[in-house]
Amino acid sequence: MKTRLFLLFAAAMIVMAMSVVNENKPNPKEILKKTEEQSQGKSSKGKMTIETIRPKWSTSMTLTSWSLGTEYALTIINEPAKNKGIGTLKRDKEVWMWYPKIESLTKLPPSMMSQSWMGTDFSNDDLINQSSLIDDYSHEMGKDSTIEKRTCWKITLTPKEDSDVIWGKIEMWIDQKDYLQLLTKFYDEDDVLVSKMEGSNIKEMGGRTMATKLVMTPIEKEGHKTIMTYNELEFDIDIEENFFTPQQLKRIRP
Amino acid sequence: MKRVKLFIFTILLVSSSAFAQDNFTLNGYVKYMQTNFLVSTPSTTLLTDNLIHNRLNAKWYASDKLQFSVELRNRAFYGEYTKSIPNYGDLLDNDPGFVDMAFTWVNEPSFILHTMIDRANFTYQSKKWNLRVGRQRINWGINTVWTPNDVFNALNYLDFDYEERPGSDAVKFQYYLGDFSNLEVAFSPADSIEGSIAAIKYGTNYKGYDYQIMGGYYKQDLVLGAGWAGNIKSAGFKGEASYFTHQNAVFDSFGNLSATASIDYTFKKGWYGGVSFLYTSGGTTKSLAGNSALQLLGNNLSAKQLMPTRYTFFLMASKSLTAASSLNLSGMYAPGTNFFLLFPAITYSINNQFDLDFVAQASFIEMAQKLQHGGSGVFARLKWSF
Repeated sequence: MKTRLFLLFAAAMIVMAMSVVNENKPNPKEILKKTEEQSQGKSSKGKMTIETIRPKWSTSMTLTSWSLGTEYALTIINEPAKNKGIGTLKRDKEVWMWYPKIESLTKLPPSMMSQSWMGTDFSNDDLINQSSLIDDYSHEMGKDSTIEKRTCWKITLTPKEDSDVIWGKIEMWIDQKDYLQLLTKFYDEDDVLVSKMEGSNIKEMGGRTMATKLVMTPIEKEGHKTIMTYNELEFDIDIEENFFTPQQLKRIRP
Repeated sequence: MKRVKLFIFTILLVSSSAFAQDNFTLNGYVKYMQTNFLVSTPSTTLLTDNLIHNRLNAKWYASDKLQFSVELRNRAFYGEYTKSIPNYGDLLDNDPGFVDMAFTWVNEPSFILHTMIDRANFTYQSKKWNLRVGRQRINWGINTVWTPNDVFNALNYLDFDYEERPGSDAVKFQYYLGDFSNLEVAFSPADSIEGSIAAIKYGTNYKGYDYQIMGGYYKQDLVLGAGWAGNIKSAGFKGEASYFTHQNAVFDSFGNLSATASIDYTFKKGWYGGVSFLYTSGGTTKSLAGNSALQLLGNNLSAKQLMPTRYTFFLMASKSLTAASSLNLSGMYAPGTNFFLLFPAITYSINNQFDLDFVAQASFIEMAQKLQHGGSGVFARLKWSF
């Protein structure tokens, strides 16, 4: 009886000790989960401007997007006039485009996810989160560093063998106070740095501290970048799965 | 004789009364297109032509549930090609819809001014269903090149200057059974029952695939069709087929089968490729000699007969050259008839308002056991959107 009690006691001690160790050592999955939760909430609605900048040319567009978790997203273009109303719907791993002028809903092949979204430096995948940073990658913590005067964790993400993701490696620096994704570096399969994304203009929006400006810069292309600025954000809005449907795409007034 | 245009005028009137309101939107574009046609019959001749094209899209959101829409294209044709086609103005003035919404303002041999209203409808939408009445586009096709399920307004892939595609006069009722399941019923009347179309479609999504089945009455035929959109690994895989049989001989003989399948894939370096195949049981495998290929493809196109040829292959590759420009190369080939068509295009976006496109279409047909030029066109187009 005594031995049993002792064993139970020892086991409890070990569990407690382990949990202390865990608290000291940050868990990358937990950080990524909190970062996603910080930037997206359970659900969100945002209005944003995307500027595509080239050495001798630039263009901009505005759009409205809705999200629910990381599985559901719906985006609709408000400007320019020629693309007004073009929509994107994402449910889990499936993506459709809606072209209102010909009343057409077209399903996109998964291979198109790696491609530029409407000529910008963002890929389709960047904008609609098709792959999951948590489930499709393995994670490793690196050395802390300071960005925008904030102490950041560094997490290195490498794709799991069976996952169909577009990057060979991702390095991410996440602010330890507000879980802001301040710097992300994207590498191809040959471990060559392809592009980086920087978060700045940190301010209150939608009741949260947010990096409201994201700049995506392709590394090997001089004078190329894409700037995404959030103009409005709302979090934890009253929205359900049945919002993310073709009928909703058709119904929204762009 | 022109029909009473009461319906459109009612919509125009209702829309214009809404002009002053926030709930009214108006947009569109003006395009100028310069065309050089190389005509092969009777002898090879170069004919130039010009097209000034204005489109207006007006929408009135009367309430969350009720919406009115009128869209029209005003086009001015002038040049050698316009002059070369006898009664071109009368041809354009022929509106195939139930209500005549085509207007030819000027009809001279070398100058035509023409207006076509291709959308004029109202939509009432509630949570579970919606109803649209009037001229509208009913898009039941799944594929991008050939659409056998698109029985109300089949599209002509080569008619690249008609971005919005034609509409049809119809009543359409859509009922949502679930997030991804819906039932659509549409009826497009004509002067007689024999010219009318009435069909029902059920669509759903299962394990990553969209599926649909449809059936109904199509201009004296009974039609049954089905289609899917999904993917094999990371390539897109779509297909659709429709079978048409005459109402008086449903089981007596084989009717018409129109079936297509396509695969598309995006490569790492930004190249996008697609391949499609179309089977048209009513098509020919013999020489198309004596026909101008481009005209042959443009006329009498329907879901039942999307190509004059029985077997047709389509191949395309496109790539974004820069953020502003892209290159698109496509081609069609029909074995047996030895007909092929090349369709390269370059598009350039000058800024958010202006676009510049260069497009060519060149056709070749086997005639008298020799491959001969069957007519070509080179088009330069400047577009201003507002």
